[in-house]
Amino acid sequence: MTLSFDARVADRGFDLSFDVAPGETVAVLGPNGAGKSTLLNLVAGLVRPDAGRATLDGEVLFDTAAGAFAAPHIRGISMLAQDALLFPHLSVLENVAFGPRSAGVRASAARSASRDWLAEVDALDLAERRPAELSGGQAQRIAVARALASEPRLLLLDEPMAALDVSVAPAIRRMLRRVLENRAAIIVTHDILDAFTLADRVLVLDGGAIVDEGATREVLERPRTAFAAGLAGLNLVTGVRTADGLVGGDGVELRGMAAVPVAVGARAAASIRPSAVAVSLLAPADPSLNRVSAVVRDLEPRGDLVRVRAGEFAADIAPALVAELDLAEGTPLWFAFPPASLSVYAA
Amino acid sequence: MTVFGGVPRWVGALAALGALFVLLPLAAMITRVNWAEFVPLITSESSIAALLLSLRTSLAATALCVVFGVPMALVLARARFRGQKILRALVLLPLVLPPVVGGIALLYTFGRRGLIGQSLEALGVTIAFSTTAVVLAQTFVALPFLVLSLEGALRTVGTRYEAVGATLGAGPTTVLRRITLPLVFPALLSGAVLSFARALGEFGATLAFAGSLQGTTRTLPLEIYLQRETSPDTAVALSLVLVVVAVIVVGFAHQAGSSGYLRGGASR
Repeated sequence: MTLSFDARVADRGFDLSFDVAPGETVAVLGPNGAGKSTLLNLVAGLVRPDAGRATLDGEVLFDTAAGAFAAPHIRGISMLAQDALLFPHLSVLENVAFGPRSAGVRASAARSASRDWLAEVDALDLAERRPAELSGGQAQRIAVARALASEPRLLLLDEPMAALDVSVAPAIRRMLRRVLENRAAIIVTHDILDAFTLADRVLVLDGGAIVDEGATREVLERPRTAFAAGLAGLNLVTGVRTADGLVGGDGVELRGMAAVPVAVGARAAASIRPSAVAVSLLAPADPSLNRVSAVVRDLEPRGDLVRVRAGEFAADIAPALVAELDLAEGTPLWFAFPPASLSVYAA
Repeated sequence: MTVFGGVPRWVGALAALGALFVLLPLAAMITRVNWAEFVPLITSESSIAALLLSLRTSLAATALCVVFGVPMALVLARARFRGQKILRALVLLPLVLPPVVGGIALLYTFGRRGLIGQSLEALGVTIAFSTTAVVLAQTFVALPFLVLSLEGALRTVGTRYEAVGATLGAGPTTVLRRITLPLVFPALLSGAVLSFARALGEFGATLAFAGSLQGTTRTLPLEIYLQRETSPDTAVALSLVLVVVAVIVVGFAHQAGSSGYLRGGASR
């Protein structure tokens, strides 16, 4: 299975192209309104593009230049949404058998195949239930089985765990990791854990275009966009490479360690974990540290630490220290961090 | 325990007056029923003929409403085309049109000298003043009931389940048969029951377009109207039969409308 996709939708400002390789799972990340759902709907055939061409295994999904458009049901692409959307008038088993039955498989064969898929998602005991009798997590398991039972060439997942209780999401995520292995899929998610657990590659969308893409670890551990850095929980500085580190937009040079060689003068980005940033009221004396002065923008409690945002940086520090330094909005402070904890890479 | 309802007393009083206005005439009619003669009156030859004709034509009209009303509701609810709003308004016209006007319009369409009737006449088919005319008149006035209730249900259900069905490989006809129609079945049923009730009570369009021939076009409402002159007891007895049928129908439609997947839990 190889997907090749290129489409434009004028009134949504959507214009992008990408490929999915056989057996590859691609995560699509991006802020609300970035075009993630439009992308899935275009691939599934639920929305028509104004212009573009897409093929799946060489078969045309749409080709506006040639006036071709394949209806959703002949594409071999199934979609799993946030809500399970199980057909309420059918039993669990009949829901799962819906795809095979639509493909012309005989009733008995479809039922036995459906039992296999229910077993695959650990839900065989729910076969005779009605959708109304299921919990959210159970319903989503059935929806996965139903989507897989239609033997799609490509599986689309639209935030499949967003509507689930946090207590059941891990089990569903484990199950998805199992079934998505060696299966071509595109998963839209807001959760960095989904991207790390399920995806081989990540696309970051913003304003209907791809702003960053690459292997999951590459994109999320060396972010080049504020959105990806935010998801990964990293401080991001973009600027120009110098011999010792990089110069940011404000002209201050930060020293760092290049994770991969970047030529001096080239565009570069650098990231650092908020937990590696120290906070003090007076300028730190140690000249080997990177030192940045800023004014506190806000303080946000995060578990047993407090995230202090000031200027371009954020630091995670203990609540006791916040109290001791008497930090509040508008307090001037100094951030300090050793060059070894600032990772510099190409932007 | 009393739960706060927030209805002012004067609203309750007006509501009670309104209910009384509906129920009192029914009670008044029941007081005039000649119970001793009731069974002979409603089983006379002309009464039985009218009753059977009414049931037969109303069922046929209901079937026509389903056959044409379901596609109409689907097109109005799902398709997007120019003039859709105008088409909806026109389709619902019989709802507000005086039935006798509908009858005259039908006469100028299917009558001997009508728009289509003329050609049909040439083929040896006469529709006006036949049982077929009764069915057409009833279908004309009853169709909007089915279209209206089904279109609303289709909009409520939305297209999300249908989209899921399509991505699972089901073609449009399979989606319609296995997803859309089962989901709106309660509304289809209650719409059909309402159409049946409207067809059963049809008077004006039938009289104008089909006339009043015993056994052929004289349905129960026409029979009641005629008997009112000569035998008020028969008219009252037959009216009571229609009231009972109507009550059963309304109860059934209400039951069908309140079940189903449209309310609650459907999204899970």
